[in-house]
Amino acid sequence: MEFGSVAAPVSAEVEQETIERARRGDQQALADIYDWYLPRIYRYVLARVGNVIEAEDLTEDVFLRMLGGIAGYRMRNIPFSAWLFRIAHNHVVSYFRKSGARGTPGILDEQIADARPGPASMVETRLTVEEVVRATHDLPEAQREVIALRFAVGLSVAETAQVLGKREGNVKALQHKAVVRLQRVLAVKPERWAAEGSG
Amino acid sequence: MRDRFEERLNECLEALSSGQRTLEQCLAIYPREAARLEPLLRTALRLRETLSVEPRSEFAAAARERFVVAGGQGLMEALRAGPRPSFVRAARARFLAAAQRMVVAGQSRGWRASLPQWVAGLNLRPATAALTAVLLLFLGFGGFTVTTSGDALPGEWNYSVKRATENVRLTFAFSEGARRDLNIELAGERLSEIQGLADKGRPIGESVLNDLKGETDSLVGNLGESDWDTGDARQVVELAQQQQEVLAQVEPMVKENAQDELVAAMALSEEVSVKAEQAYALALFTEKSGKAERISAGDETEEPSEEATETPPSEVTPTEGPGGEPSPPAPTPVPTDEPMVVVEPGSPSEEGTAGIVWDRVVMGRFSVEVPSQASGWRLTGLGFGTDNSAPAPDLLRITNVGGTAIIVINPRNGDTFWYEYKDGLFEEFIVRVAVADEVWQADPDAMRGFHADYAGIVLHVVQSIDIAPPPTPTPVPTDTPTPPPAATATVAASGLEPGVPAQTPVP
Repeated sequence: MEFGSVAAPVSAEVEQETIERARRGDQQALADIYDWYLPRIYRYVLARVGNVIEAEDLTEDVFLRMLGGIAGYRMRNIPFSAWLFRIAHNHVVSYFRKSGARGTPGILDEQIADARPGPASMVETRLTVEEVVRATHDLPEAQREVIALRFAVGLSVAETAQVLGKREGNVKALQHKAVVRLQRVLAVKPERWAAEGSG
Repeated sequence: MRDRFEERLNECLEALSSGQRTLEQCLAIYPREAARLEPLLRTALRLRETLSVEPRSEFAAAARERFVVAGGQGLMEALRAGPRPSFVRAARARFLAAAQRMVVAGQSRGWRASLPQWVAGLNLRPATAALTAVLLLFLGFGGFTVTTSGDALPGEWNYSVKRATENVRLTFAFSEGARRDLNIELAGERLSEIQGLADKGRPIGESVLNDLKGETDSLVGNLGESDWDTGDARQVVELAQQQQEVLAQVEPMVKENAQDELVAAMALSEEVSVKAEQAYALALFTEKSGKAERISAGDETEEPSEEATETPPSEVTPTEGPGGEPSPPAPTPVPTDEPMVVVEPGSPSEEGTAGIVWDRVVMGRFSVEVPSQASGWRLTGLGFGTDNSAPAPDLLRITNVGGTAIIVINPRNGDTFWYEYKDGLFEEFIVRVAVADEVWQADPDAMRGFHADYAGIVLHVVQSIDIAPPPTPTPVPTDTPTPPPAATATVAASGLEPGVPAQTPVP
């Protein structure tokens, strides 16, 4: 049973060299960065906002914001991925602040949810993104962030800690609390939602 | 105990993530905690499985194209050598966008502007206790600390010493010039600290941003003074640009609860940028023209400047007013001896503008009549380019005493915009605009109907605009057809979209 791959798509050296080229306006380098990070940024944003349309708009904004800052990005003590996810994090927080929403799920593309392969051996009950976002809705903000970064994006604890500016121990504790709570919620809610839907 | 369980849960999650172990293997490693681990690991797997959504391929492809194109264009522009063209082009837009904010801010900041600078400075920095501490340090045992605190960053052990040292310097900066120099230096220092925090991967909090705002705010009040020299003003223009760039770059490092402070710091920086450009323009006028304050002194006429021989390009031929009356006679400067800016005192009052004294401003081939300072109007220029190479401003701005009416004229093509402040907002009216080889002017009757007396002033200004044809360096062959005079048309004064005339031009 494999949990999923979070390995970097390329080596750190290749990524650094690509970022340098992107800073000089190399379009192929920009395209590479986009291809590497689009799925993960999109998953993160979707896991936070729960709405495909909003997630697409916000994801595109994140990359455009990245353009605005990449010329000044230097290989500081923060990896590029953590830097990029901080942009995404800030943008989502800004979105929530402006819209007054807090990850309320909206229109979800059923085709996307249904198209995902779901090995029966791995899951008891098939969940949709909407159900997960609903379940996380009552979690504290920090726990929601950890869930999105760890399980939607696939960042390591160390990477998650860098994005959130927290200690690794703190991230582990947040992860534990969030999973415990979601385990309880998801054990009940899907069935209840299904019953509500059929009724 | 809980920490150990958190560790084991995470260890299993990482092992599952990397594919090193299966769920069953993880549980087998920790048999005593397997019962607690299993439901949590299964939940985590379900979350992972559910959230592993791929973006729609159509969205991914379209967004990729937009991203790559935007990235290539934006970066190449940013990296282009020489003065940033975007800065020059944006000067007008920034002024227009900031006009409303400036007036509002000016009204709310009036009490501060009326205070002596050093009093305002002390109000901002009332750290008497810290001053005492630093004096003691100077006098006694803290010399090493003081001398090594210069590079300290917020949060470091010697940062408070650094700030207190700065307060001592401010206290002993007695002259206006010294305080101004120190204000600029300290605003730059706050910005360097923010950059330093970001370079070290440290988060940027609200106090750091508030400190930057505090130092910048002291500059804003000062920028309204008329005694800036071009060197200081240039420094502030560049500082404001650096602020905007650095703040944009460090945005990802700004703490979540400091986003409002970041936005406020960016807005303040934008305001400084606009005001500093104006201070720079005014200083340049003063230095180049030798005038005491501003170019609208009606009784002064500038001697032609030998260095200013560049002629602003123009696509517009002379026009007539909408009523068919000829434009007031304009001087016809000799191209090789063109003055940079000449202000000629006035023509008599016109009907509808009784009491107004008019000065004529001549910039190369462009000339216009403007209400004089004696009539309560002020003339300034904006946009000399970033390298001080332009001989004349890109924009002329004429403002009334209360700042409630602003007329902006582009001397290159005569485009004229009028901004009237009402109910907390500036309303924009396009009064004259050159489109291709046609010139559009607002309808005088409609303007008078809407705006009464003020319309007369604006109409007089726009009807007096004259742009002479460009000089011909070589003799024109006699059989070359003379281009027909540009058509002038009238449009309604209100409800115009920029560049979209309300009526078809009248030949």
